[in-house]
Amino acid sequence: MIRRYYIIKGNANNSFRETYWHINYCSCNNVEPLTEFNESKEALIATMDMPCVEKEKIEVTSEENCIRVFAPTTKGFCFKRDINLPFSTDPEKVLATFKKGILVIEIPKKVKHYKIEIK
Amino acid sequence: MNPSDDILIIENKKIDVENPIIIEGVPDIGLVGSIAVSHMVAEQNFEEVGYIKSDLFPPVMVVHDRKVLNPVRIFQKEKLIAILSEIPIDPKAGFILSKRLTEWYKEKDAQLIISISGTPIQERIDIDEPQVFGTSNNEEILKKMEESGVQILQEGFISGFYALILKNSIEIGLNSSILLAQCYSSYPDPGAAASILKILNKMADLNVDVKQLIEQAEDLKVNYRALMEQTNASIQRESKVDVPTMYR
Repeated sequence: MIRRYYIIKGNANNSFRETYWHINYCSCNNVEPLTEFNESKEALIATMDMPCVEKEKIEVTSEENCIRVFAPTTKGFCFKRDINLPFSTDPEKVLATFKKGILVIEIPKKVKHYKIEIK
Repeated sequence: MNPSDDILIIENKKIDVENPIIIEGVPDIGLVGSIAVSHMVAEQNFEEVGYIKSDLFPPVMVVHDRKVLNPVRIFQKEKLIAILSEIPIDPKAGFILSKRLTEWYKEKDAQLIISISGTPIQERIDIDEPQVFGTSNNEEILKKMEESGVQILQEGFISGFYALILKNSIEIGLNSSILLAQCYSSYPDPGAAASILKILNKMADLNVDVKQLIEQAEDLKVNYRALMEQTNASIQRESKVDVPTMYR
């Protein structure tokens, strides 16, 4: 199995936005994992059922408006899921844990509005 | 030719047993019933004695060990009859199937119906040994369930196919019970099925070994993924039924 990533950093206006092309050369079929979402004011929690997967082989990448999950299984297929976010997140603050074959991704919502204290 | 609303219970081999105990495993939350009954009939070498057919079921046949089989099958071993469905039962089919099945149970003079299901819990990932809750329309059975380790439901509601089985059982005088194991709401849960089987071992004097079920949990979750996906869609259609306001 050969997998490659092409990462283009920076753009014309020199922002920190990064674009990832995830090119998957593996010959197996991609299957969407069974997924549940729980949303609160502060975060979106996505849980995915990913049996027959090794923690070390799971790849979770985060962008401001998208979370991408990819994991090969021991059964000859791969789990793949892109979550398009209806809000913005801080990619570096996204947390992921894997326990008992279930991947939990906590995606905090970027705070857009502050309540200003009046002095 | 229009599809018929009939549901036919076909006995390939005459089921002639006095006061059988019926164990039902129909896909719903966590596929607990399907996984538990499927493991039980395989592990205890139940004999396939019939199947249920209807135009209300989706056009599906299943293949196991190179054999093409009906998705809703009937198994028997001594006094136990197991109903195993490998397709989700939609509400319309559920109404008719529950009525037809309870009539058939009455014909067979069943002593007890045990329906197996799950109850979703948010913290399931942190629970190693899911608890089993239950209810019945018979006080003596409730006591036996309690002695077997079942936590009896004091308040709550049952919805879906098994609610209809319970309702029809009350109407025609059958003893019916429901076992609900704590489970994941949208994922297949072999661990919850194992908890139910441990209780069934006590309730129905069985000796089902759940070690293999727990060891092969990951493989089973892969195998049951497609059925879980269809069942989740079916549950969503069913959940359009209003639940009493106090339980919302």
